[in-house]
Amino acid sequence: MTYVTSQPISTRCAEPDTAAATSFPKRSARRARFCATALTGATLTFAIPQPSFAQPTAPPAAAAAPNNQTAPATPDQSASSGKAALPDFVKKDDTQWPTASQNAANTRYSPMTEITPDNVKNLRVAFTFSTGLKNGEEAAPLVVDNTMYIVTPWPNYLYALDLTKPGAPLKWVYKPNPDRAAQGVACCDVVNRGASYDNGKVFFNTLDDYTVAVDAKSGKQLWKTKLGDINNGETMTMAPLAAKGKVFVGDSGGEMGVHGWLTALDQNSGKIVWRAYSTGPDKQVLIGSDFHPFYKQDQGKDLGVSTWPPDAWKIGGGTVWGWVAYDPDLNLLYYGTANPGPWNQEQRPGDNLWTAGIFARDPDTGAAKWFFQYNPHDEHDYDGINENVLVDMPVDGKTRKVILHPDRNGYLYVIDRSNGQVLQAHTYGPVNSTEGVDLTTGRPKINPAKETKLGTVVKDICPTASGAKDWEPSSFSPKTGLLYIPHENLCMDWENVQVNYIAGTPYVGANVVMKAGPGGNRGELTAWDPIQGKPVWQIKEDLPVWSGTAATAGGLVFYGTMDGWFKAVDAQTGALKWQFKTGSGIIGQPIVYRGPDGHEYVAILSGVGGWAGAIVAGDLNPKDPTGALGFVGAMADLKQKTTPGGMLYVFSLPNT
Amino acid sequence: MQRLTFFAPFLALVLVVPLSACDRGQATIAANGDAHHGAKIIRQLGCGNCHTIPGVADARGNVGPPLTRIADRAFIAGVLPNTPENMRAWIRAPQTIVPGNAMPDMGIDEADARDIAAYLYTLH
Amino acid sequence: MSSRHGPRDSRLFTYVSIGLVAGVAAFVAQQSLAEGTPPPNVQKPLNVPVSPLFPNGGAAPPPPTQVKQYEGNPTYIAAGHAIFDHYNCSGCHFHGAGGMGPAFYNDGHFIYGGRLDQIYASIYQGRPNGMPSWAQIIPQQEIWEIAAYVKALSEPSQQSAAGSPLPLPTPAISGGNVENGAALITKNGCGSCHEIPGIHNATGTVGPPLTHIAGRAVIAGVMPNTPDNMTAWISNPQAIVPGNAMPNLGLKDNDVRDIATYLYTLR
Repeated sequence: MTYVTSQPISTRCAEPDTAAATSFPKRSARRARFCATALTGATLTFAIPQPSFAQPTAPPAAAAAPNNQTAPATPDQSASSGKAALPDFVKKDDTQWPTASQNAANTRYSPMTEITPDNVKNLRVAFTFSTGLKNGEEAAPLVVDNTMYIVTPWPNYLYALDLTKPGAPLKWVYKPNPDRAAQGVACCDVVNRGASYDNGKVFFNTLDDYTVAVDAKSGKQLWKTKLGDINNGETMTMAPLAAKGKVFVGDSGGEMGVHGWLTALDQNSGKIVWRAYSTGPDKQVLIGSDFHPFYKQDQGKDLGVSTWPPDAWKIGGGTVWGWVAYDPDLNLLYYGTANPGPWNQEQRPGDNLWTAGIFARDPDTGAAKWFFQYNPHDEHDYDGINENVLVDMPVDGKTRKVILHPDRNGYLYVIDRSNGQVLQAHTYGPVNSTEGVDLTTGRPKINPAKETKLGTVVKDICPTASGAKDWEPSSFSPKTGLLYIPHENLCMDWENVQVNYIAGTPYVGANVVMKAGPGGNRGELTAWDPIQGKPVWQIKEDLPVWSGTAATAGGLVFYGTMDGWFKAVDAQTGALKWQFKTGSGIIGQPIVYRGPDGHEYVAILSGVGGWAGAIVAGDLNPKDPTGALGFVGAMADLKQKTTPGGMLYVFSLPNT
Repeated sequence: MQRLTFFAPFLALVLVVPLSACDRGQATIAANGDAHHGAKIIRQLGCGNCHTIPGVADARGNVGPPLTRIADRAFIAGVLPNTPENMRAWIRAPQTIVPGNAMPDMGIDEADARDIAAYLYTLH
Repeated sequence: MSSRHGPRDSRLFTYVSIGLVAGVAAFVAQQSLAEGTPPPNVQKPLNVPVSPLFPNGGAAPPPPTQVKQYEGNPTYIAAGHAIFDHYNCSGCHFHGAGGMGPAFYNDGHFIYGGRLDQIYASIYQGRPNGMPSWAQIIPQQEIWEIAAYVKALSEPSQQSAAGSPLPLPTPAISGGNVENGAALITKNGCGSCHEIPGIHNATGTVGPPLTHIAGRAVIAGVMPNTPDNMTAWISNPQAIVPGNAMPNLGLKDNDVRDIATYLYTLR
């Protein structure tokens, strides 16, 4: 039988729709009965798969009364009697700079005293070196055995300069030839944050997911290990930490739906010793019986799965593109995990463990020892990857081994590094996305007015997506006891949009426009007293301070601005003592070292770019303020203030 | 034997229309096609980039109208009575029916058009 | 097949079982749809030069016919805009500024050529410094629509057709009254042909549903969704697509504006 008719046919089963101008063939009762049973049988076994729309998330359960007070103060907290100090394991006389963070405690402090607030006005250029590239130069140069090592942005050349000769000529260059297509999956300019030296080898990462070991003397490649795939949206930009016979490296790609991890490689063979993912079942996260997180919400089985919608953890981010610290006395490795993906929080209800937090792990096995989550169910791209500066400081009259961590969310955390207890959390910049950190639970109190929503532009969220501070690392001076924090003062408007996951493409789901924070200055350098839990002095800058800082025993702090000024300020007072205009905006990490001639040198890479400088490095158009994940909106004037170009500058006093 | 012959078309219908959520008791009449295969082509062609289509993963497009209840709709594209032949014709060559409209000619052959239509006619 | 069960019950049992089997089979089969299989009917890549250099006095071949069909067409531009977001193009290029990928607010200066077919080819083939190859995922006609949108972004005169940089969800009509719009929709029986959220008994299936009409890229398949086009359509659909099933209702301008205002609440 066939069913052809010249009349319009409705295929509905029920009585005719009175509104429709159609007619129906007569049905037999038998046909109707048959239809009913067949369809019942089919529908009983099959439900139409529905498109998986995001479910709106309920706001997190309110913690106990918000509280951003310190732990109860005891007497004898004056700065004169008790100051934070370098941990014992830090070499106090190390005048070299063997790893990007200077040492495993990430203190970035040089014992050199030759350059002082009184004579720094005479500082002049000793030599320069061009990288020949136009992308952001975020690296810290290394200095070991009278050789300086520089890693460039893509194509990730490793240059070795001979510091014993005038003008520091090139010794050799190692070229890893990373895939040029990797440039297409790097969210925030094709940067590289530097290398790490240990046991005669220099280790660094390439944008296309290799870790390389090069002989420090000859420049010969010793091994090259592939760790990820650009077709998954993975890249690598972080500076590794080489310690304890291993190299610790992490991935980038939290904006690309990547599955984040930290990997340990053997220094000699380059083989992977262990890998700890940041989300997923305990087995992948290397969580076992040794795991003792301090707070209740982090205790339980397979929380890296259950705090996500089904399978969302696989593309959940938690990448490890920031700083790794290591305490050999406690035998613990410390590092942060980045934002959960996508940025659209409504597509991933749950606390999204173990993103936006800090892990402490056994460096030999990777086994997790403790974890703390700065931002459960992060809604604002507040990665947890910022530096963890290890210091020992008096708390309640006792010396405690702590971590100082300026988080993206605007709080300066003081955390006991033996067990993950939060001792202090005060804001170091304007914050309205949360209203304090409850020290009994460690959780921030979310401000419902600043929660991000689908189809609505939530305005004036502070701090912005790049945080009160992004990756640019602070330094600590045991002389002053202060932490020198380079950071931003930016807020943002944010609108969630539905996003599809397509491997190798951005997985964000938000339109963001950034803008200057209260006061109008987009950047700041803050000298922070970790014992008092408050700033001692602050320097406002027009542009975000996207460079690192370095502190010296001579009493100075060095940093650079995004329009190219390299500055020295008095570590005690913040007074500007010297500045020099380099050729391009500075987003690199300054280092201080003792040259072969015994004199003190200060080195910095100049070359604007990075996320904050993308408008210049990428030649973007400010007519659309959502560009570069919203940074274009805050930096429309940057092209007037600086132009691209990578150059190393090394300074010293005259007659050296 | 007579009964079997009588019921054979219905049997065929049941085998190709497992995805129907119609709860009103009558299977679609239109399909001489493989609705399951039709759903697959719909997905491959990216129809969901422009149309919201129940039962097709990620088909959340809002360029053209939703295809919810398309089986019940009286008109196709506002200009054609909703018949299987018209549905196939529209799917294959929308530009000849409404020149310049937003739905492109996708170069779909007759067999695929029939399967696509078969799927669409499950959407009550 | 003799038993205490009658023949009718046996048939019932058989049909339900068949339905069960078919249902399960189809369910399982659909779940295992191959990801990333190329769209059918993939044609050979067009002969589109990327370089402006043609030795020995040569020249570029004439552009393919699609260029004329797609370039500058507001309907295709609107469709292309929606598809641009769908495939995460906006994740790298944002809404004109650029980011990981270059800006399309570029006064027509594209690295690999700004002709419509060159833009098409860049999307189809990918490009060496990070532009992925989309040939296996996006049907070619949709690539043309995306290219039309991208080209519109690059030309200042066409940027208004391309839409504002911030894809806010709703066009806006000033001065309209939402409540009156809803009342007019009810009074004029729009719901007898259209499913319209928020309107009592508006469950008609003559024309398409108006769910999410505020965010729909194209009205009636032939016009970009702007307030002017919406009011024009409601006022006089027969003038826009003669002979189509939606009648002219003879509505006054104020009423049309109120109706459109109500429709723009349907996000």
